Amino acid sequence: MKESSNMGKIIGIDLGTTNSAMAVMQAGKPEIIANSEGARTTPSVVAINKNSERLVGQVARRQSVTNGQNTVFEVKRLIGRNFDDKEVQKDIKLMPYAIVKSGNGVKVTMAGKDYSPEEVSAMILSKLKADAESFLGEPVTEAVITVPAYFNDAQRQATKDAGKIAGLEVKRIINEPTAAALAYGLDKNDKKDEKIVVYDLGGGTFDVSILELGDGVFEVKSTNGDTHLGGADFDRAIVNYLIAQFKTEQGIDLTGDKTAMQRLRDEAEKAKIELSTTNEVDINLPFLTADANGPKHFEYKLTRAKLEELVGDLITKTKEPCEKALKDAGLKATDINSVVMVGGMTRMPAVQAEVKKIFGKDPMMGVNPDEVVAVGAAIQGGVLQGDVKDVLLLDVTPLSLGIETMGGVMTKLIERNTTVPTSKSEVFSTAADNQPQVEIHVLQGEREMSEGNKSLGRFVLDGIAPAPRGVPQVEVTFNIDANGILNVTAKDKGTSKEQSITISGSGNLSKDDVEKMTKEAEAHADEDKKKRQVIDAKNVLETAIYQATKLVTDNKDKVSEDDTKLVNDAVEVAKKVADKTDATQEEFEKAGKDLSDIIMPIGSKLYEAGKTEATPEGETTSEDEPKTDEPIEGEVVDEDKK
Amino acid sequence: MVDNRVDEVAVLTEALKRERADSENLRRRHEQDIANIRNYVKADVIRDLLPVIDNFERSVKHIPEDLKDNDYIMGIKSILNQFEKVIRDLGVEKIETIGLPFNPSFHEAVAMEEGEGDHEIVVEELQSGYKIGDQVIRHAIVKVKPGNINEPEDKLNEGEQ
Repeated sequence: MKESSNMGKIIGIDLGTTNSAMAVMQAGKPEIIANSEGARTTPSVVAINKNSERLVGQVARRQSVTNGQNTVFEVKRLIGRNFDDKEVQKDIKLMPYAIVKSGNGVKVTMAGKDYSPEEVSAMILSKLKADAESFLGEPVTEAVITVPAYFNDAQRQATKDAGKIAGLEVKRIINEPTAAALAYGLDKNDKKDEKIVVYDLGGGTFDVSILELGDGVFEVKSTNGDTHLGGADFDRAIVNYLIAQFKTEQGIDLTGDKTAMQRLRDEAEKAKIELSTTNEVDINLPFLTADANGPKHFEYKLTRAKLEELVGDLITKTKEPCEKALKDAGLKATDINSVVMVGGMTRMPAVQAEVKKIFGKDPMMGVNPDEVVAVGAAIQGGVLQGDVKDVLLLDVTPLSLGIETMGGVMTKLIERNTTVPTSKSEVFSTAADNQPQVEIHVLQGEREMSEGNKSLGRFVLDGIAPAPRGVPQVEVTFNIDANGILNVTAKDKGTSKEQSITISGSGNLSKDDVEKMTKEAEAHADEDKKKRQVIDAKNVLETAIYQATKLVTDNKDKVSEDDTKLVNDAVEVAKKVADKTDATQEEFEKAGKDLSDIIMPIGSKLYEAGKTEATPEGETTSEDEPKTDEPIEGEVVDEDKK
Repeated sequence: MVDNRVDEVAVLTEALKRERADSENLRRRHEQDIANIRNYVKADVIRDLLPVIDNFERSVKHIPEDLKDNDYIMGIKSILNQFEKVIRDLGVEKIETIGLPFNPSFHEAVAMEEGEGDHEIVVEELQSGYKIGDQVIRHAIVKVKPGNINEPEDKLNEGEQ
């Protein structure tokens, strides 16, 4: 635990070719760190402008057109490489900034000065570090940084040096596919020799890696890919198609029109994203351009099928590297246990379908594919730090806990998946006048009605002083300690008398039990909700009957005989409905409304008369109708929420 | 045995401290987030509405000569004014562009024109940008040209011709 003597956090950094992201363990969970502009990823772009200011990220990208020679992007392609490398020679031709020889290695030129790729990467890391510090409110000095699996020692060392220049102690360099597998918790898998494919289709590069898990350690069996294939190519394909479409319709070539091109690019990217979840999107660009005849609009319905046709060959391009990687690892597709998806483009259903076709397996998609590598790096950071989770295992309640209230309804006090230890109190009351005792029936489960849930125990709190229904205050407290032992206490606030019960078995449900109970609750959700609504309606009706009876008995001398008879008759009718076991929600509601229609005018009369003299129980007499949102007897009067 | 206990206490104390710090930090940030969320939501909604205003503006620029004084067109124009007022009342300002030094914190350059001068000046706005306070909702998309700040704007334009 020496490493943790420093209280600072180890952050995980995905130092990407086009975009970078970072995450940190917070209270045992990985959390993405947003940059100072509020974005969850930061473009890996660095520039030095005319005023010798250094710009990093989005702001550098926005000025790149004005300052192309001094704006460095995709420096990851150069880091740790020799000048004579084929990749470097290729990049010299492609990049708008100057790449020069320095010893055996390379440097890039910005504002007349040469910088090593490590220094440029360090500028990106410095921004990330500073943003992480302001996000966390504490200094950050340590990091785990990810690199592609195919990086050689020189490239890894150079990445480590970049961290050092940025003032970060790089606790470990890990492979991007390994980080992705960690984010999915695949290291916790019991299976021996698990084979994992990581399919990473990012902004500008495609990588596929095959990992083998042995004793909780991932070994890279093979890697393959295409260094110039990514989301940008997909966007370009869509834009080119739209340009051609517009040309056919209007005879105008948009390629020279900066504004129109910008709008097309934005719209194409939006359409691409939307088509991952819908089958058709309307591209609507009014006043896209104009000619002598006036303004020209562009309206086009882009379907998912059309999109897939446009980028089909790009997707197919990923197949060969996958097959090569399998071959190099000496594996067949059927040997693969899991497929992990990385990179924004893997959100596209056609990409997922292709991956499924290649490996015969549904790919894992649960973690945001833009963030999954940074998340994995943060998890690795947490492990290196000796995260709290290793010593203090925090449990959660697998199912909700509560008590039975009027009408056989389960009222939840502690919701499922609440982290323990925890406690919660609520105040309940009696359901009848002069009720001397209440029964506390402790329940566990997700069903609305108590009968569908598991009974954990019951006890009686007696000696409640005689009082009208709803008046006594019984405080029920649920307390679960760190060992999952549940203690339920009921206390009469009037007499301070209390009773309690301790239940030790509440956490001992097997995983299967929990799953079964949760599934049952889901399956019965609608039916339970209906039942609950019927009972709620019945409770409202009973409240109305109670109040109507009380109204005439409490005000015997003030209510005329006719009115008394009217109320009593109405109460009788209502009672008949309330006693019916098979009445519907509507019947209860109608009976409740009929009754209150009769009481209301009488109540108002009393209220008018009462204005001259103090009413003994103003609350009851001024009651015009039972409102559903009122605390029903036996229901909750929540004091804790306030 | 005793040593183990001492070690264990140290480990647990450390763990507890970190956990406390975590929850303290989370609470602090949660409060910040709550405070910020109004602006975020506002900015998000406005960002989605901006293309409508853009197109409204474009449509007004393209009114045919013979319809310029048409009452119906005047009505449409005043709807645009109303829209802009609503946005202003929400605290949203247009980002200033033409004639100002290019500032990538507010401007996104899509073109650089030839010219002489030590400074980069915004010469054309292709799409308006908006901000709430210093928070940019959308960057202004602009064309930039080298020039000198002291020169009056019209001189810059002359140089171009």
